[in-house]
Amino acid sequence: MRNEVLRMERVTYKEDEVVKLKDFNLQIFQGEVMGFLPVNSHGKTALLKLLERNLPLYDGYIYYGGEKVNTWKENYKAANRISIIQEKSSLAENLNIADNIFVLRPGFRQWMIRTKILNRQMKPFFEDIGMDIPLDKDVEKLSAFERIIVELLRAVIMGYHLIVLDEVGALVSDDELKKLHAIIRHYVKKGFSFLYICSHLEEISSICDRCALFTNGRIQKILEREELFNDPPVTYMTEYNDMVRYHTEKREGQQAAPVVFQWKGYGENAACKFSFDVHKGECLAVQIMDAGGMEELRRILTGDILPESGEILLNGKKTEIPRNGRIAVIQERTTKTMIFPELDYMNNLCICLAEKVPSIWHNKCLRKSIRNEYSPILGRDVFEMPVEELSEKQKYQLVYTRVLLQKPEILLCIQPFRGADLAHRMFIWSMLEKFLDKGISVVILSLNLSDSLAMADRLLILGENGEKREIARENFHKITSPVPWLHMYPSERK
Amino acid sequence: MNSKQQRPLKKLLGIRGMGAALTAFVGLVIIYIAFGIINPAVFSGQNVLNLLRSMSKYLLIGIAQSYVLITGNIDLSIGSMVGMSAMIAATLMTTGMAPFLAIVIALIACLVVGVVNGYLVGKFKLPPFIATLGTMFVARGIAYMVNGNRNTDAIATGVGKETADAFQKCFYYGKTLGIYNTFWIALVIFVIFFFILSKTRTGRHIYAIGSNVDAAKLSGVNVVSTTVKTYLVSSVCSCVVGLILCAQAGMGNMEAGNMYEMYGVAAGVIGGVSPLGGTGILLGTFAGAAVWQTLENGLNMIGAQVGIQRVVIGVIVVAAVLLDVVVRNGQFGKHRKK
Repeated sequence: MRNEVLRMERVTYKEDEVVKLKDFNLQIFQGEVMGFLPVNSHGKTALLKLLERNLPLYDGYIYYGGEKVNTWKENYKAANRISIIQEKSSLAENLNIADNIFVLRPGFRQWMIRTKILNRQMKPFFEDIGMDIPLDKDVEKLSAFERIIVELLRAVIMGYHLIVLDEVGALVSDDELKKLHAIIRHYVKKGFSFLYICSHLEEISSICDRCALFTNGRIQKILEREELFNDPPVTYMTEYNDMVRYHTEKREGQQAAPVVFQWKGYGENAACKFSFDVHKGECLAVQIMDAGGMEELRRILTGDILPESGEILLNGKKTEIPRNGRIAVIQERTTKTMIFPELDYMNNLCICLAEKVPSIWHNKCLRKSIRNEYSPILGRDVFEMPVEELSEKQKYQLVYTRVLLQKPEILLCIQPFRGADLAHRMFIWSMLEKFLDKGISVVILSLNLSDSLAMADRLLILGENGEKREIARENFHKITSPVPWLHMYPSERK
Repeated sequence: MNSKQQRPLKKLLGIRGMGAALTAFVGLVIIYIAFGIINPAVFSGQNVLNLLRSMSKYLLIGIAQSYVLITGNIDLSIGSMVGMSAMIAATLMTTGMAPFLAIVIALIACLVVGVVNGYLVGKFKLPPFIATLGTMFVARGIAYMVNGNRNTDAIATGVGKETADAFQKCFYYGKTLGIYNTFWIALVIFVIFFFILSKTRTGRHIYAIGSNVDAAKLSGVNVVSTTVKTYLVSSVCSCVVGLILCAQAGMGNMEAGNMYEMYGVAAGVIGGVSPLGGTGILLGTFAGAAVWQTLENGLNMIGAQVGIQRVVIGVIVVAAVLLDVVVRNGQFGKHRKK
């Protein structure tokens, strides 16, 4: 008989009178990787909070490690020994690995720190999983992958039986993801359990034993491993499947167009080895295999770095990215990084227009005409709402419409699907399609392929040492890594 | 140099904050030599002794502020606590109370302020700037009220000349092994707090709070207790400085310690303690305090006006913070350092 690690039984949980989880049932056994696919993200954050802390329930029971830890009758308050690994680090950045793993834990009673002893104690754990990270390295200097490993090891050393991995696939490259999966399997054999949250069935299929389909705060269905391969849960995602099919079909048969943008070794470290061309009206997906290179690209695009080597060309002329109205950049986690919470909706919408239309801030008629033009698309109410109170979808719409108003020649998106649930991903697709319909080139830069392929005309894979692999749309089905929506690509479909 | 010789140096530089501390030490040597070349009297033994004695106050204030800064907070009440402890100790001694008892009472008063600061910031989540601004006024107010809004008489009038001399020698005028006691007191306190910060669990908790307070909480760190501890360190150091000032003047001055909280920030920041929290070592604070005092001393020796002294010191502080930002971000302006 399998030992149960976590059981959530008929859990109903409310926040500010909004039902976040409704009759939620979930059971995780010892030594299994439970997949968790949020079709939409409503209630996901609440679930993570409940796993971490025993907040008051409206109804239901939660059992962890065979003990009742939270019920609707009684709130036990104590935090659960469950580790949650996500984009936001739970490590103290300025301390080294040993300090984070050993010293910052409730049970550590030694007053004096003996670094050598701690390092000696920790070494076998790293050797066990075949990782070689300098133990005295500050956490701040770790890559995303290394940070995830350290958090994982901390959970293992602290004896946490359940480890939640929340969308970690979006933080690491394909190779690193494979390594991470191998490490997860290693600990599964030792009896640890994992809850693997991911929006892509393909990624979940590659590691999970079972998968829970989650929609609107409820588990819709638990899929066994065989079902993941033989009977993809299309019933629950028909709407999305149709959308993907529509987008993929629409992108077929695109004609070759002149080159509009060229990246020629523009960078300082990894990025100076990158070079690629973008054609007019084309959607190019660029997969960067090296997380460091991705970070460098992000810093270049956001203007943190102005490299001295290499160049970028727009319509054959040398140019720069910051403050260039013809090159638009949309950052990852758009709804958090691209919104000005202190400004009202109209100011947020028009902020990129100021360069092209300097009179925008004092010309009320102009602003009124923009409002009238966009009200039918964006909705009338949003103009009166504080920006922070907008829904996620409205925030995405605001940012993408703002950039659309700017009328750039090329849009560079940094991991646009990162942190977005399935419904929002579809919405991002539809927004990106508007750019393509207007002949604006779109470049999607990401560490993993995520949903970028659905609308891409070309895929460019940039390796750590600048090696380049180009895959045309008609060959997408040949990609071996767990690509989202792989079953829908043209040749496969035919 | 072979690899075996390089390793300890690499290891030393690998210690977080050590780079900034060593930079401050190098700066100190350069400043000292530069002033010495202009006026050779800077190199004289007596000047070195005076320098060590004067820097002790800044070192203690620097330790006080560094502990708080590393947690990502600030203590604006340090200067007022200095004044308060000086006034309480002096007033009690002028009434004839034994110096030891007067010191204990002054220390208790400072600790109370420290506890209040710690709870306001750690428990009640008041912004540290506002919380300690409040206690700054309260402590200064107490310093004024202790002796009825006037400075005290000489402490010798209360405890007698012999005891007063002993007190003054103990904290300021006396020497041990040829060096003023003030320096020895500061050095002992420095060694104790250096050890606590770098080698103990409490020290790691202090860094953890300054680095990522949420992660610290989740890791079982008692944020309130650790925050209170840092403010208590600040109180202890402030109290000792108050006693040093009291011993120096032989009386209590209501304005003693004015602006010292900012000197503390400067000493810490010059030595690489980040005002953003999480980074810095007390060795850097030592260097920062020494740089500060050497600048003051050197500018005095070459006859620079007070105004110029302030300008130079101000520029050095800004430059040190700028250096911290550049090193932290690995960039200067928008261009990354290659």
